[in-house]
Amino acid sequence: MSTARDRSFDLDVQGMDPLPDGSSVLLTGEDLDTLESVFFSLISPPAGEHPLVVSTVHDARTVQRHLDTGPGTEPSILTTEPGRGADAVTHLEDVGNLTDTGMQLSAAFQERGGDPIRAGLFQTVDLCRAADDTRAVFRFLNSSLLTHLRRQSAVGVLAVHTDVDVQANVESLVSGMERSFSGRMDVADAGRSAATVAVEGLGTDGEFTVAL
Amino acid sequence: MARTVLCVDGQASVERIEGAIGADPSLTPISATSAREATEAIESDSIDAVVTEYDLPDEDGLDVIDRLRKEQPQTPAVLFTDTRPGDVDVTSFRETIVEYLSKDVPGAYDQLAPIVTDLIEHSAQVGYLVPDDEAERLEALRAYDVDAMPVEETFERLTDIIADHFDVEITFVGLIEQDEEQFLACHGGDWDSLTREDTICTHSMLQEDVMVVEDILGDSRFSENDTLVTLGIRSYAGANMTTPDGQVIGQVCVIDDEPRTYSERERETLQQFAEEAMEHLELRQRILDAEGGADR
Repeated sequence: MSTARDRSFDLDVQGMDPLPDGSSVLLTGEDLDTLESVFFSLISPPAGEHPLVVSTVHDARTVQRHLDTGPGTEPSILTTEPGRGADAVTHLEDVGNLTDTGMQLSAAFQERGGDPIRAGLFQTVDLCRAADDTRAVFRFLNSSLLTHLRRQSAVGVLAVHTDVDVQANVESLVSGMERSFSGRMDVADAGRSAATVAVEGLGTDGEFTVAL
Repeated sequence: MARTVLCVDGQASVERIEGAIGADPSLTPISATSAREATEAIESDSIDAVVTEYDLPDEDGLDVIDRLRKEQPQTPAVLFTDTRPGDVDVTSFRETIVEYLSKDVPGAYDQLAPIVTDLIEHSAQVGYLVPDDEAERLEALRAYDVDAMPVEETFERLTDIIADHFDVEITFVGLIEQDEEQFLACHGGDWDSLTREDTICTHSMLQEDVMVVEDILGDSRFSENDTLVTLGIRSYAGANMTTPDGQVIGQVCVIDDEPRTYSERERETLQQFAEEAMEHLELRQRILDAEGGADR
């Protein structure tokens, strides 16, 4: 278990300072395709970092195709979508079973030992929709995901598609999450090769550009 | 202060777990060699964390953790096992969040004590989102010595006025402490405190603006909350009580037993009532501080 607290993670957002390890970023956006592109851009790791992706949308091959990893880097993937993938792929039968999802996540973090990890969850509100009680999702975030980010040398990006029915006020839900995470990036605008994100609470607030 | 860690495994293995936990002088291991023994310990002892094998002679480790959740809901647990996560039977468990640690990973026993310590200090099993600066927020709350303030009558008058203004069943002023919301005054209800996990205020405090839930049955964050249903709460509006240095320490709320909406003007008014309540607290504390200074 790594307890080093001096590593920083460069999300490759032009003009934004690297984030200290343990940071958690709430990534929000109305347009699902753009949100997806920005998400994979942020969690594509440079050499020396290991990607760990939990997806309720993509199968393992799609995650691998979207992630820009260096040669020889095999991402850890937990996905609800069936399909073939590499060895480090875990199929989540039911992401709403937070007992199983939490244990699988623990195991995935543990398997990487002290490696610096760039983790991503796409997309967070699917957990709320799949779980019987949203309080269990908050318990999962507090006691599992955010705990691993804090304890291990890691940074996490949790995507929330805001134009979705979660049987709750999405903006209210997002506001709550925003205060619990280190900060928020909201995808404001996107073109073919770059997106503009509004950043709050991550050291350098303002609008920045993410290359896609 | 020593923290008690219940170690649960078969006779042959539990001693090794106890040794790994006991390597940290701040942790005191106690042992059980079956789910039955573990249950007895959970029911009779104050336990700060549980480390349990999955494969036990009578039941399995998740049964032990499930019982822990019922007796001591916020106590963290580690499933420490050589059973792979995919082979753990989770059909009866959907919401039991547990740290999984494989015995097969090199150095697993050495990781136990640091992980347990970390879980005890940081990862209470709370079913709500916590502000990123919760420690600072609680510190700000502690600066108000409410027990020494004669605020009860003031806030009772205030909640009466608010209830009358909004024509609602229940109005309260509550301070949000670490684990529960403490009600300073409550019009229309005989409430002293509520576990934070059961309150809407713990969500409302995370929003800058007044939070309105027009119908809790239509909001998945609250619709499964039996406490709210039992209390007859159907709609909610809450405004933050914010200290001068920006920390939200409490809420002024209006509750009704039927769905309802709140206009922008009504939201603004509720926020003003919350500012009024905060100002009362602030002034009372200044008087206390001044009196304390005069006594010295």
